[in-house]
Amino acid sequence: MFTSDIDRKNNIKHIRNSLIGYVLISLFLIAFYKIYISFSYGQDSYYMRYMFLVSLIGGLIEVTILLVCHKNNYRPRSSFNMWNSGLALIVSGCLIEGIVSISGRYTDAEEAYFMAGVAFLILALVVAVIRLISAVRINNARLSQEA
Amino acid sequence: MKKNAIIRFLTKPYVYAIIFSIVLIACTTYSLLDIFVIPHYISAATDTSDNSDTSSTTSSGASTETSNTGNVTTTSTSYEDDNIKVTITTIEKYDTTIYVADVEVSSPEYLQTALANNAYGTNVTATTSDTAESVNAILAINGDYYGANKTGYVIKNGTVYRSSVRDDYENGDLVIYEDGSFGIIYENEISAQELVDSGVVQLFAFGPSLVEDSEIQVSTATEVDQSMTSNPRTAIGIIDECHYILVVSDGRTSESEGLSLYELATIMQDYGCTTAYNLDGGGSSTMYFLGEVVNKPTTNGKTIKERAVSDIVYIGY
Repeated sequence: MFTSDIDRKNNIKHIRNSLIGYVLISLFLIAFYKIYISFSYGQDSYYMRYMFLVSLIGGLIEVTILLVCHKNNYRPRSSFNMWNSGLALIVSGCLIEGIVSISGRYTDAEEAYFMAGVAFLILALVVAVIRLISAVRINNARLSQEA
Repeated sequence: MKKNAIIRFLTKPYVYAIIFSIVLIACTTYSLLDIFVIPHYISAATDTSDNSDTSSTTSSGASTETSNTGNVTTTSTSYEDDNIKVTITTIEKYDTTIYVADVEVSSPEYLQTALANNAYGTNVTATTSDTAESVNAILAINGDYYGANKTGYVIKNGTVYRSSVRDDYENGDLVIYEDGSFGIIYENEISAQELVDSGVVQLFAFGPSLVEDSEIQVSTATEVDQSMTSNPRTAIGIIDECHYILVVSDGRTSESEGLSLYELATIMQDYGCTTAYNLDGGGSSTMYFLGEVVNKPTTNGKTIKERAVSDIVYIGY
């Protein structure tokens, strides 16, 4: 819950920084892919090529959720951490699959990363929704009292 | 108090992110090391071959010796005894240096495979020349680098080492039967044990098949896992009963561009192959003959150096 206007302004700043962070991470992943395949003698990997979408789309979803929470006077810190962890795990899985695939090999090591990443994302959403509902109820109760 | 201090520390900004990042980087690094570097020895190779010394020697001129294989005659590009005849020809085609080993044997038992360090496992590797030397090979090329993957049939010298179906089974496998004939099979259609029961003694899981029934099987658009068209290549083919060719090409250098799969297939067909198969290429492509590496193996096109591989195909006793 925000206790002051400064808190609210800091939260908006945090949301803006998160968005910028994810855009920069996405650009980095695109650059990494381009540089990596320039040394791969033409080998390519769909996972490595599109892993930037994980951070970009994941970041946009996260910012949307943060804005909804911000409107309801709530900052979902633990959900934010879990969501970031989920995206990091999925990107790591894409990276491993890409490196192995470009080397001409096959692996299923990335499956564990994808499963753990999705688990973190689901957990983040569940916790965020539960706490958001609780925050909305608290807000409504406060508004009723003020009325 | 201590518990509160720990909780206070963990709830500080960025602490969770730092700890998670360290753990994730460590796990990812270990995963990659496990896939590429850490050797996993599973078993010793089952030795079914007789590697008695043939006393062959390399010489600039022809040399002749008498041994239990009869008269052995060698030059820098040929070897001949009562059972084995090998002739190496170097050609220039498609801006690439290509080494063609024409092999005639009196019995298919002289076409064999060997595992690096005489052991089966993933990331168990040695250079083609080291493995060839250990088995007194007359001629050797790199095999299918089975150790790069955790699935795919592995059948060497009649022994099944692995019977899990490979992810890319649609590339087909080359099988060599007891009578020396070649065949192309697909792992999703037949088990490894069924193959051995039907007389298969060697299996190579790389591909794709280049020539079948004397017809080219690859198109100009076919490539191994989306790889660049021109690369160093290794291939094996059968021309007639107990008559084979083993082909290695250079590539990735200014002197040799490398071959596409289609170009490789045309070469195998031009030499009269009825069946030909693509083996592991790129930095793995190596041909060894009478104690010397014949081609210029390279991974990055700058350094001429053999790559350590899992297995070889060789001609020898």
